[in-house]
Amino acid sequence: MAVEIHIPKLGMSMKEATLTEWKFNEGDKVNSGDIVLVIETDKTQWEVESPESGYLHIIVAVDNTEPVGAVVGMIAQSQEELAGLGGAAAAPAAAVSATAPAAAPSGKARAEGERVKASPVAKKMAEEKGIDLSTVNGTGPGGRITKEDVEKAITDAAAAPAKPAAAQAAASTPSAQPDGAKERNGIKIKEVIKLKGMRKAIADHMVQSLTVAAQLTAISEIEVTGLKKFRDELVAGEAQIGVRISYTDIYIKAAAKVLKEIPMVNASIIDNEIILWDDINIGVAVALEGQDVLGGGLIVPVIRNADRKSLSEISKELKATVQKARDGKLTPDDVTGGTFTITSMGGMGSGWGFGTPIINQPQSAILQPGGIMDRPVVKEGEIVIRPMMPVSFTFDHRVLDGVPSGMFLGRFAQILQNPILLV
Amino acid sequence: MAGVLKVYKLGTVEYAAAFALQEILQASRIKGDVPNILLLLEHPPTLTLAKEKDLKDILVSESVLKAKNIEVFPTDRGGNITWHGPGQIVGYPILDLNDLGKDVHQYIRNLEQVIINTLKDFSLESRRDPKHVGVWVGNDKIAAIGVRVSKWVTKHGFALNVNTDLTYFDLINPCGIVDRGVTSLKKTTGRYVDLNEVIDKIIDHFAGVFHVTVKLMDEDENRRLLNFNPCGPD
Repeated sequence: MAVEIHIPKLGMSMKEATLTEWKFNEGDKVNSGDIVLVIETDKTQWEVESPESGYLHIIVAVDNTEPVGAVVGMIAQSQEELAGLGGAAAAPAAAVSATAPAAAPSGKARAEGERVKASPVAKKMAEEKGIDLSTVNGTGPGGRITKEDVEKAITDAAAAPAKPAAAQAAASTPSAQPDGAKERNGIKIKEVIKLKGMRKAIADHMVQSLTVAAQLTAISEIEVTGLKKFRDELVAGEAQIGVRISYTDIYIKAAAKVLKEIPMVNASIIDNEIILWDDINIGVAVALEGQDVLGGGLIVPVIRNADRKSLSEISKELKATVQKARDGKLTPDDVTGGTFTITSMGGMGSGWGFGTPIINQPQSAILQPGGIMDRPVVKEGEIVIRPMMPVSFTFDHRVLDGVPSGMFLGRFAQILQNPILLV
Repeated sequence: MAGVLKVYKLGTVEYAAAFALQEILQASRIKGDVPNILLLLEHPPTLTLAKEKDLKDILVSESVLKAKNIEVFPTDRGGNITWHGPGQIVGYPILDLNDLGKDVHQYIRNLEQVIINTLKDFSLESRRDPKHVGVWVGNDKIAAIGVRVSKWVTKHGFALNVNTDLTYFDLINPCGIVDRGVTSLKKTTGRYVDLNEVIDKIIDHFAGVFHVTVKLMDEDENRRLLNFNPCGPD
């Protein structure tokens, strides 16, 4: 698989960078760690290292400014893969008109928006090789694209001479671009954004989760007088502890303890088997600062064996991983292997509210603590004010029934009310 | 605390020599062989280019540059063309940002803050500009900033005009900006300030802004760094 070269996020406020220099030419062999690209942001030149050894494919030419996260090049692992990527560069919609003749020698251009008919094999092959089917000439019945047509497109793309830098710049699709059409179905368009990269990954993942699992959300409210006091003490002891413990750190520790007690919640359905995990690896959904209207997306760093870690260890690890995420330096190890997820309502305001979070597959449950607010509650016949926290818990009814789910929430609430139980 | 900062006051150093020295120090810093370092120095009259297209921002012919004994040096920092010369304090921090917040933009803001704090000690109010990196007095730039980072270790840095002969800037469009001017501490305050006095303040504020403990190197050590032979036993 080819590896993408992104514009890294080098600071909280960084939105974009300008490509200054490609240190290698298209198709050159590069080694992992070689400086392949220099970018500039805020009068700072940054050396981008190759994430892999392989052959360089340049997508965005120098002097172009791209948002953080944008894919500006690829490292192909073989010459063949590189040839396939050559096709990929011709694919983006913005360049269709310019590159269509190369990909479709008979020149039968397909009108934009016209549905592309293709055989399943052709579709799969095109997807694997990064060929945009709308640029492929179909020779099957009714213009249907066959496997042979895609093979031809791949060979043609490989045979096509390397495009000059300017054409490559045109071929790069910024993540957001003004739409030439201005309106669609009589509705005015503000902006058209390609569904790709992280946005696409999130979209696919969410739909897949809702498709495969029988999800439902239990909602509850927890009095957190004990939790607040506990956390205040931890903050006061920051100097001794060496780190500022956050509420999220405490939720991770508490959830890990409950997962240990109720193993059914720490489970996955894989191939008709319910697997109860011994490792308790808790993912924490973190919103990334955005560079466009979509925001920066979502990443879920995983705290492994959270049940065996102290609060301060959890806190330090989470802070370090979140920083890595914001710097775009996460490794696959940081975000895979989760057995349970905690997400927060942070992005939706700190007030009182519930969500119905979607399970991070193939896990069986996700917990969403809400914001803490002072609210009137009835205690022993009196209306009193207490800090209250809403909490949502989505579980997969294929694995869990109401009783273990209720037990999970009940025990979680009990620990937050009496954090001494954490010890 | 992010540890020790070795500060070298090097006097006047040729651009090429300072450039090579930074290369070596940056590589050593990446390997962890040296602590964080700040080089403070002056250059003889030199124009430095950050990009090929900066050549168009030189407004005079090559013969004029020759006659004035000005070197032109292509370099690899961020930013655009600028001028270095006597009366200007140049600072080259070789810092590992891994220990200093790991945020490139914050690093630039911190460099600006060091200059702003320093100028305040000389009763000069300066500011950032939302669009243009550097430190500004009114619409005139008093300090330029340009940096390069490799594996989170910095080189290049800032240039603060103290008693600079500003007519040199007439030879170029500084930083490619055409509608702004340049200024110096002397021009804005009307008094001549000894460079060493300003350098001492920069060191103080650098320590404050970056939370580092300064270790000021003595003359011997400064000389040894300048004569540093990468192949030697030092």
